[in-house]
Amino acid sequence: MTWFPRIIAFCCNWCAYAGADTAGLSRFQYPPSISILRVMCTGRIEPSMILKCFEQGADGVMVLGCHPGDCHYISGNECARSRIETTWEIMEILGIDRKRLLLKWVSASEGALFAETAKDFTEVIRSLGPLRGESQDDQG
Amino acid sequence: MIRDKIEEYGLKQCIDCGKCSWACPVSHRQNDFSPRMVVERLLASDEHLQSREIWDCVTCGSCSALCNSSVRFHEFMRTMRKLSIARESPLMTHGDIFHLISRLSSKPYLHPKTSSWLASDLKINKNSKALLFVGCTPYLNIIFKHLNIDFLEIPRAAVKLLNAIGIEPNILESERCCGHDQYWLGDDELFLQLAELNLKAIGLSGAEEVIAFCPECYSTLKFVYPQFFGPLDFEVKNLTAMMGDAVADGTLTLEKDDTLSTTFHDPCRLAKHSKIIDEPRRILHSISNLFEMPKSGHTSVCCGVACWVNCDSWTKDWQLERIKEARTTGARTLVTACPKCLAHLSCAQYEKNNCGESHRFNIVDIHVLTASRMLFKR
Repeated sequence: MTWFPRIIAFCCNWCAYAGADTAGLSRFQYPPSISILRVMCTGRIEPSMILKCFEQGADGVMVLGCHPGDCHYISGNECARSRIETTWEIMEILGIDRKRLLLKWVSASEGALFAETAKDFTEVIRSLGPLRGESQDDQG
Repeated sequence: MIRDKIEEYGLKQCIDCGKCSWACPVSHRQNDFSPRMVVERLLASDEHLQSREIWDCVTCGSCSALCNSSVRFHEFMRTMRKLSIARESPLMTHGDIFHLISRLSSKPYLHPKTSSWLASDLKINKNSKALLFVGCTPYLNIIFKHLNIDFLEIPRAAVKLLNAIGIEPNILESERCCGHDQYWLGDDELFLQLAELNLKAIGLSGAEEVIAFCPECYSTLKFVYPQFFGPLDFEVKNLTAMMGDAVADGTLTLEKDDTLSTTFHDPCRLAKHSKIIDEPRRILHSISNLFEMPKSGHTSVCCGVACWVNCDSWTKDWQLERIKEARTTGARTLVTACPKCLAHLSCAQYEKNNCGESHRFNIVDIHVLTASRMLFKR
């Protein structure tokens, strides 16, 4: 069986999730490797949630939120940024490539940007290969 | 099942004296919990333990250390956790991140980097027979960034101290979590995975002695690993104890600072589980004026949280009370030997300061303090 990346995308309700909706409405194509998880704000995402994704078998995690200054809750995306930085540091020690975690700002109208981000990130993960290394048998 | 365990851990020997209730830090805060009460109830009726009680215990071992009848209550509680872990889990602090880190570090396909904190003046020897076990201190440095403590100074100080007594330690390329938290939470499956990977890596490094500065790593490697794997091929040593001995036999010369007044908070894994009590005091006597807290040595209290479960406002009160106890001895610096105690006690102060009170008590790690008082032989 050929390997296909499994990616979790945390999208904030107000921007990125609506952006994904726009991508769908405008018929922009993006790879099926992305599984979207809606959260009210990216500031809600704790480092442990991202680590849990990797622990459960994700090959990559995207966190997509509102552009700086546009956060529905004023500064939630700034919290997200600092938490993602913490997560990168932890991943570095754990030996998980930091490129496997992406933080990006996608607004509600940027459907094309969402599709493009999903495509590019899938390619990045594809070039990095599976997190589990060569043994893919027990991926389930 | 529980009946067998009651027999195994000697609960039937309880003479109802109440020393454990005096020693137990939890029963001081919670009227409905004490080791004696739990034991009596289990013996008198067929009632099972409530899961809240199982997680209330901090497994510090104060009760077992004082028990006249050798009841191993804290180990009994661990076994109860093991038997019931699938049914109910406790409140995990920090979003469960520490367990996820342990879980990820148990994956054979990941290779955690152990020595990213090394500095150029520290001497490391890849062929050395002595191995320094680092533990989760580098992660604490990231997660407790807001406390403004440089946790990485602890492993650096450890290497510095070892260099001073003529040891150039090796450090594993990829070290896993020691499994302490998993063992005490009753998650034996994950503990065994971690332990096997660590033992394999230590075996390959050819180490004859493993030195841990963290009391939790030390007590786990020294006492728990042999329980599962039989006698180990290497000797496990605690850095604090080694330094205490080095001060006694003159290998390590320290400079005394008369203006420095300290008091020592005994980590439970050091004082109660490993019975290392005099060595840290010997070090502190040689660098400072040591004041003792009323609760010290084997009657010392836990720092409030064990295994990253159940941290709440009353744990914070308990930690602040401990700091107050340290302050009333007249000492100006609270010294501890465990990175987790350092994080917990500092966190209580941090939260308190955020609420408006603004005089911080100085809390430091014994290894960092010792390394700063070293006299170099020229």
